[in-house]
Amino acid sequence: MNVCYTDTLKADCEDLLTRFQLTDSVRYEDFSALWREMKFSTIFHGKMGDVEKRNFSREALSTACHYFFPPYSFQIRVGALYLLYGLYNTQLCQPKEAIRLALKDWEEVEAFQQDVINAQHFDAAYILRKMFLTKVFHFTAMPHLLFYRIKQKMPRQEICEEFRDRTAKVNTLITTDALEEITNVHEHYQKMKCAISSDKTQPDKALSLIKQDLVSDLRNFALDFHEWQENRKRKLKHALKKEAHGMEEEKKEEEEDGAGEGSSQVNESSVRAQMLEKIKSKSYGHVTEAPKSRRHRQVELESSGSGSDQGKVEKGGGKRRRLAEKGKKALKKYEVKHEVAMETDPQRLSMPMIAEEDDSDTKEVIPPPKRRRKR
Amino acid sequence: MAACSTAEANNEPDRNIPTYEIRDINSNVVHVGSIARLWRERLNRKYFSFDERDIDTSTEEDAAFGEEMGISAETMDEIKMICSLDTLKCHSEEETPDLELIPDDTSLACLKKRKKRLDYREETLIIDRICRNETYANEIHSLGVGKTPTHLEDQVEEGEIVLTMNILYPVISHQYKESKPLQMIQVLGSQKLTQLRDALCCVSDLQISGEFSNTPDLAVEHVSKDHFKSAFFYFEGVIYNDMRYPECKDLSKTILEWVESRERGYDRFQTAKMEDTTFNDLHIKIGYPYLYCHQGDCEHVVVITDIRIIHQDDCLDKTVYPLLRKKHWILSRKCAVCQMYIARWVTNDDCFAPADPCFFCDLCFRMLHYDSDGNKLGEFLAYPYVDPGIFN
Repeated sequence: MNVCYTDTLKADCEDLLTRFQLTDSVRYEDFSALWREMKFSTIFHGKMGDVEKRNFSREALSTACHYFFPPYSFQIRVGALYLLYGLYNTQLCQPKEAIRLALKDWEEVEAFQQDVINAQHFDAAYILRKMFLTKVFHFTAMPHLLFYRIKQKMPRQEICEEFRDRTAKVNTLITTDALEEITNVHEHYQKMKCAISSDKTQPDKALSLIKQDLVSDLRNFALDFHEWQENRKRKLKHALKKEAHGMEEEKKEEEEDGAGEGSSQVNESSVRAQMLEKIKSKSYGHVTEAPKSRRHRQVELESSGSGSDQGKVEKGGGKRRRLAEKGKKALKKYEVKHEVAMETDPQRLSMPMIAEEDDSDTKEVIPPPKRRRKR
Repeated sequence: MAACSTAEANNEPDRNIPTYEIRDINSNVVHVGSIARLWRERLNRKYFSFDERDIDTSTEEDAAFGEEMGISAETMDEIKMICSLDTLKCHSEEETPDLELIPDDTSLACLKKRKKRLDYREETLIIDRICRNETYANEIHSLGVGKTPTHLEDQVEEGEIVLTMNILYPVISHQYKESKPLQMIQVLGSQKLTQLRDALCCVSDLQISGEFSNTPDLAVEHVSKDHFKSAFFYFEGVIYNDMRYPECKDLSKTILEWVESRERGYDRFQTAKMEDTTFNDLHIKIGYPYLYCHQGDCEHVVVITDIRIIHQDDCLDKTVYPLLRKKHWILSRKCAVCQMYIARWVTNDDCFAPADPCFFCDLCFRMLHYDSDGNKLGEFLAYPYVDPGIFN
């Protein structure tokens, strides 16, 4: 008797949001044009009993609400806001089924509202405010009703990859694994250059075509960007809290300078912090050349302060393997405690392998690294 | 300044904000009362207050919005027009679409699925009538919807917490093992646990113990509820006993002694009084099963499924809470003779009955087992029977 609409609702919402994404706009006019084109309000039509109608409305709102939170991009979140507005007002139940908002998600909603206001998207701000004032939301402790259904595995709504926020991609691109790869490639390149040079310890001057500290620079850029993001988030959070406690206007203005569109995505900061720690502790990237007196020993790694028990070793591979494991253990420890944090960011766990051809600075074909790293 | 210290304190994540302990299953331990406080700290009061329905404040609100954002009146009007509810209408003014029909040219996956289902039902349906269970569910739903109190002091406060809980029936017969029927009840945070206890209907409370074949008229004297008044709730390591009446015993003593006798792997349980505890005082996990025990051994599993701030569409009359929102229909046993009336008697070793045990309604029971003077005819044992469907 009970028809399950989960997958069809997901398909319909994603259809509408994809079309909205293609318009490259956040205007409500564009959204409502698509809404009317798809005749979306007919989704509630059809002969249904009262109970079924209510269950369907509840599920539709819950599906749409999923797209309103990170890690989706700003445009998708605005689209989800409009979608919620549309679904709430066109539902056929009386009294209307409300949209659930949990305590832990409130910060994100507030940050989103602030973003929208700062970027002067008046239509989105107006709609969000109107929804609050017409009491569309139920303010709850947890986002869904919990029945302790251990046996019945509720299908978790998966994250649609096309709607993901771009700002997350920088950090997923430049990670410890990627940096490891680049370091390997860089070293091999150095070795190749040395091999064909007249002086076997140093590559010829004519062959120095790339920046020597490429990897450390990359690492520093990634860290700086990450810190800048964190600072912005922190400032925004601070500003919001001060506002909530009724502080003066001027301080708020100071701190919100430069907070642009979609800037305050509260990504899983615990995951980021951990990655930062990992990058710092491993300190990959700064490959120096061995001084002439020690040229029989290859320097694989150099510690840059933290974790200073990393001395120089003959075989770099084992050392790296050990450190990789240490880093991974730290990560695992974190994983157990913060299961939720990790779960919503699954993309981070599978890293792209950087192919040699993409390294545009190398002119020679470099054989793949001979050491097999334990993953 | 005082604000600085609070700003510092706010940088730490608040431990009272509920999160998942096991994802999608249950939350960590939360203090119920602090949820209201946390929401009140974060929200504008207007977001959860109760409005006067007849007054339309939208023009003032829109003007305030325009002022805050620094936009001119014309822009404000434009925004209002762009965002109005008319933009969501998918049919032109003249068409009034039949809400029950699904158009053939629809592109929505949900509608296609629904149409398939409806077409199938059209072909196979023999009797077109609303399902009895649904009528029952609607009746219960209408008990609570939009009720406003007659006296103002009975109105629920703004920002009050509403807890929704599922109370499962005790598994006493095979038919309940698989489907686990339940009732869904809403209570207010400010209500005491005893109020919930009094609102819970369980058939074991109405049992009448004793054999009454010789004295059928004395059967309706005392129900178990009057004899055995003890009960307790168990939430997160604390047992709340009902000690309102002098006859109430501390049922939890046995359990406490058992826990302390050896290393059982549990922390020491504590006890408290049911009549002194409100729901706001509880520390519980949302979605986690707890226990309600009464009559010594009648146990019900209690799961708190939701905690939220009260909404203006909910029932606003305090006296109606604890409010029943959903209840499974339990099929009543009918009399073996007339098949019309609900059974009131059950007999064993009955020489007149075709089966053992056998159920009778009051009239058929007397007609079969007693003569016109009220004398017992034949050998049998008769017990008063309370049907579980009595609360339908």
